[in-house]
Amino acid sequence: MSTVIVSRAPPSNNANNKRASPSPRSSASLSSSSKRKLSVSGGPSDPLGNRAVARKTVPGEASSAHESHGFSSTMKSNGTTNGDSTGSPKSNAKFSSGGGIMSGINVDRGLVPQAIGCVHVKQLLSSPSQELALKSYRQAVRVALELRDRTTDISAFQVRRCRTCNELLTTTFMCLQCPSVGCKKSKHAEAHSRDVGHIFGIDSRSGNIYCFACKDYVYNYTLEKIRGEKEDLLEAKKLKKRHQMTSELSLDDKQLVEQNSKAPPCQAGLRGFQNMGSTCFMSVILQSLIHNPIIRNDFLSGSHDSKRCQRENCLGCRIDEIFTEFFTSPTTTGYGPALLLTTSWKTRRSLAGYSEQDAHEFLQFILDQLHATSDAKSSSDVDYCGCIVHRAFCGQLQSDIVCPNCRNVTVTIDPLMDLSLELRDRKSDASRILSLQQCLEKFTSPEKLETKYMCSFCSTRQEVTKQLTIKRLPLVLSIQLKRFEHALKSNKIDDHVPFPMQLDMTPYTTNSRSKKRYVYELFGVVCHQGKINTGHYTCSMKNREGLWFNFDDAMVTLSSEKQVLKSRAYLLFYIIKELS
Amino acid sequence: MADAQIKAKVNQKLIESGEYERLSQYLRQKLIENGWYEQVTELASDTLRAQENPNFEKLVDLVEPEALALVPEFVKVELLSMIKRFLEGIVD
Repeated sequence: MSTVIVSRAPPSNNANNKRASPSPRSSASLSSSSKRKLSVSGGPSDPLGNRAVARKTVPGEASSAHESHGFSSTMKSNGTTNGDSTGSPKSNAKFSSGGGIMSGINVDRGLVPQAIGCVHVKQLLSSPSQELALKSYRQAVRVALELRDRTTDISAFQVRRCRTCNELLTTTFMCLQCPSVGCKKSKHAEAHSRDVGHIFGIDSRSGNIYCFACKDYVYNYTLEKIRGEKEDLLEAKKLKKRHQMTSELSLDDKQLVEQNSKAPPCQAGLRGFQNMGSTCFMSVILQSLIHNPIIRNDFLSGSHDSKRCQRENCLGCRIDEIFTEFFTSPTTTGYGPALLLTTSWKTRRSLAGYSEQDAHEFLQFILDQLHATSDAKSSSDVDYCGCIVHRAFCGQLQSDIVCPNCRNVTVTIDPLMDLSLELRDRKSDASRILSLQQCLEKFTSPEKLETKYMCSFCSTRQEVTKQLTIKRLPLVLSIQLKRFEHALKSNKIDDHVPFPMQLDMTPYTTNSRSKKRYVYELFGVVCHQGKINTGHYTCSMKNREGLWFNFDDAMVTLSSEKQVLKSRAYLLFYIIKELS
Repeated sequence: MADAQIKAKVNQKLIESGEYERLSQYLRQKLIENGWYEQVTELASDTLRAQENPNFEKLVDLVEPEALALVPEFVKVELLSMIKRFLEGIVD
């Protein structure tokens, strides 16, 4: 004989509720609004988790040992179950089960679902049925993820079809506890969970768990780990790499690592630069390197050891020092890059002095220097140079010159470190400012050259057509919007140039009709305010968690995608989506 | 029940010919290009932030109608005509 009691603490007990919450990462909104304490318990169960169910409650009677992890064990005398019950599987409580894994659980529909996982999953995974559940889940995840990529294989769709209506092209849930598969749209999966009491559905395309009691997708740590490992395995297979999971260190090695390493402080890498006299042009470029995943990972992995480097006036060392400082020091005040400044001045005289310089020029300078001071560079062919700068930024630009007379095409391929785009279409409406995509389109469209060229093929002077296309896209795409015009009068184009968060570069490549899409994600924007000679640089960068921050010298503030998209960009930094 | 049979046959042809995959990719591409993903992501983020007890079903109820409305008309038209063309090719 056992009792099942669901008890609720009075609403005034807020402080207790916060401590009672088992989720380590409860979102603030949830823990503060959670007004009820849940205690779910049941009697002893047999190895399959079946319990003899008697749902009559006895006020004040405490239940026996089996308690849900993390919850307080106090019972309130006014605890009641969700309606009456006489032990029949189809009792009032909707999701009670007569004989499955989740038997004996009465669910209060008004309870607050948790941010991470849910009480039901937690219950399941601390019950004796845990091993069985994990095994079933592993199998289901394998099915879902392996079949997902077989997009023209009808049998892959058949396996995941709804068994009630036989629909193939719709979201379906595989039951965790039995072979049933039901669709979402026509609520066939929901019907199954109601009829049989199996409350967990596994999304047949993603492997995510849906809890029909909570009416929500729930992400339990243990199960997510299983799903994530399977995803990684499949991804690694796709990339044809030998799959290496976290390398297992020996106990000695683990201790060595623990004793000699420092955990990075909170929000590591998030810090401003002090303006040391019109040096904002430097600050913004340095931020773009710090937030560049490829450059950052390379420096943080220790590829340029500033302590061992023998070079004089080495900018590689200066950048390495900045990375070390930013990612290990808990200081959040602005960093004064004095050493970087003097090293830059010694390397290039024109940078000396306190006058405002062009950020794009500085970018080119520092990339050049990082290449020069890199141990991984190849001395000859810059196209295939192994230094991190070229591996990240270097692509190829193809120039096709067509002779209208003999149709001969002269093809030239040059290395491409960044794109500088004209903002106006001089031919049509010279006053209209184009969007980024339109600028790229203009850049890669055929242009009739005004000066006549001598065609070496047919030996005639012709007005040739020239077209630029991108033959090989770099991993990191840096784009300069040519806002500074140097026509009769030096003029700055201050208009807003619309640009997207996600940029599909496929149309601008040499093989633009390729089926493979090359999609890039924005991670940095550099803005210039003011006039052509006097002005101020600020920037917006995206951090590892996908949050956008504004950097104005030493001041760092939280921004948003919306805000960033409104900014008047001068330099844009995109990275290929798979690496973003 | 003839309708259900026809539908099943059509779905089978759609999948096996690769047309379903082509249509899906095309739709995805068009939605990216036209900023639909960004708009819906923003809408979903805002809606989620405003929810006291975030819940998937509630989120879908709130966001789905507007997300569907945000799909550019020309995308719907193009996709429909692509499907029509496919059907004309397989039905006699």
